Amino acid sequence: MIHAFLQGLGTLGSPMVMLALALGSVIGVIIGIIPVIGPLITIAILLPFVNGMSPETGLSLLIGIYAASMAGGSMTSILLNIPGDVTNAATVIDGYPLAQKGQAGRAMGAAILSSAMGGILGVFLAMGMIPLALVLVLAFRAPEMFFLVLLGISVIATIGKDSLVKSLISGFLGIILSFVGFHAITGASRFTFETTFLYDGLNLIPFILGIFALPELIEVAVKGTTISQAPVVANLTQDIMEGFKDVFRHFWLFLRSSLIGYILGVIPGIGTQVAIFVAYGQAKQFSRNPEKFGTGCIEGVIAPESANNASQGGHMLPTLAFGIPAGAIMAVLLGAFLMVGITPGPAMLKDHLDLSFLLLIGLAVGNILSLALCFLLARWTTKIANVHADFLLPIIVAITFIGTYVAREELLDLIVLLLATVLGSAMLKFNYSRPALILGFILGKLAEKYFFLSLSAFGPLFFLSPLCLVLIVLTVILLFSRQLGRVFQRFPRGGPSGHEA
Amino acid sequence: MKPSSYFLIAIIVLMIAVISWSLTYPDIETTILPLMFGALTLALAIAQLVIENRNLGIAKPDRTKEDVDSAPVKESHASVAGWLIGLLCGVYVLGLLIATTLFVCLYIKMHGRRWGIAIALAVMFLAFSYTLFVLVLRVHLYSGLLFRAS
Repeated sequence: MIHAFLQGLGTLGSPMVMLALALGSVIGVIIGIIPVIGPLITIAILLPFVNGMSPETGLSLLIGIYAASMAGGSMTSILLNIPGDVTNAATVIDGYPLAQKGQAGRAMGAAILSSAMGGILGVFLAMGMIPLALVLVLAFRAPEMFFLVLLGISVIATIGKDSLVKSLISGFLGIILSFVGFHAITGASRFTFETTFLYDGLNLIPFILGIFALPELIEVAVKGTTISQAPVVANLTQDIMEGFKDVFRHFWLFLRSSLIGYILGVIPGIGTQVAIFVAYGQAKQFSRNPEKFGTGCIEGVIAPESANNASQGGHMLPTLAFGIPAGAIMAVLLGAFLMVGITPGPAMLKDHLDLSFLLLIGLAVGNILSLALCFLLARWTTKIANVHADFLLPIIVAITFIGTYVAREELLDLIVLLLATVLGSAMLKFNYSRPALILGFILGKLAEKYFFLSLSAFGPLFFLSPLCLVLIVLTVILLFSRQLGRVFQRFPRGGPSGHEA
Repeated sequence: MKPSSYFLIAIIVLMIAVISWSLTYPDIETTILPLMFGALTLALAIAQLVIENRNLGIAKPDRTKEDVDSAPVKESHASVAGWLIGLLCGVYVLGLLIATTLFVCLYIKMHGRRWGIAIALAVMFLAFSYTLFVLVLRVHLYSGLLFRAS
């Protein structure tokens, strides 16, 4: 094993492989910054080019893109309230308010360092947990998946910064909107009004852009100002360094969030979107200042950014070891493996262990490269927050329109974008939680699918497996940890009577 | 009634529609969750509406802070909405590339900037979009009703 590790490390040192990885990282950061073009589209487009390359070079290029895209996406989340990808959706909650306060540099510093460190930690965990991965993957059947998704949905109750009732209304509205389209089990169509456009449900890209990005831009345009309410930062490097220090100040939060990201990343079908919200929810619940979340709290940036990059290592493990793609990007990467003549699965760990290590180390190096690239780019990108609305609105709106169309080549998605903008603007004006709406929208349909699969396969008592019970307890802890903490604080040490035992 | 109450009333109407539509679906698997979440949201929206309006009769200032804040910006919101709807219509007729480029140019010009700046930024935007979406990503961008017909 050590021999294979060293061999993988040696291959990574060859100029072509290193060049491919660096090129992939540059492309990854750029596509992360440009709204709506995610790593999935880019990797799919580059597949034909990989065909003629050696497995080491071609796969390193794609791994570089994958590693760097999330760090790039965090920039637009912070600066423009536009998640570069769904995996950055939770970063906007606190990242954008920090940019509005003139702390974009600090937020970006925290985001890029926690992303890189989370990514590296995820790789180490993936290497160390190869023997345990199969147990973990097989332990999660439909009931466990359902309760895992429910754990993510429970964050709705804690994610809002106003009243609980408003958060629940937002979250439930998101869940109802996720039901548009075909039912995953029965195949019946719901809320489609016989329109073929709605059969596949509402597209996530225009929905997220309409809910998050355009309402904020409209507000900035109406005020006739810039995103940042503070003047241009004189010493940006110092600000970014402050963000770096924040990660170490909240190191325990970083570790917890990375672990959540990694574990949920290993489980196929759940993906990073659950991990980021669970990480955000636990960060708020266990914080000393939960009331500051949503108003520009640095912990709200560190938690989702650590989780999303740590999940990359988690995703890689089942893909390499068992040939089970843990998400859509991994499914495309699986296609790339087959194109270059490598079949992922148990045999890969036996016959191509050095290549497996090369890709995992490449993922870690890609994260380090993305950290350096984002650091270099930060000087220019942070200036976006100080661009006047007269220039920012038309350019971002125009890119948003084209990007929305490009995602499915469907003109009607532009109408979804505008309707979501109306809803997002109303929610912004009346203080309804937009992250809760997105959370419900992303996880609602998944919850329904796993609920009915569990019911049909295991009957009404499907929740009685040990892992389900653990997940139920975790959900209760996540929901009521603050209240439980207060109850325990009322009793002095030694028991409820107040007397020392 | 507070302005936010109109938003809640819209949600209540929508949830009544969701519940009514859910009841028309043929099987329980398709119906149950929309019905359940529709009913829950309806109940919460009604509760929130009551909470927001229960103290209105007690102390009623001439103009609330929300009203004062929202009064001067109403026109601008409508104007931005007009720009967005105009862009959508432009895309339908002229196609994505032409409509978005014109939008960038006209929006900047109409907000008090010089023609030179507006045109320069519009051309830069066109070059960026064309290079990225058409040349690199090889996406077929919608060409518009006008150019499709010709």
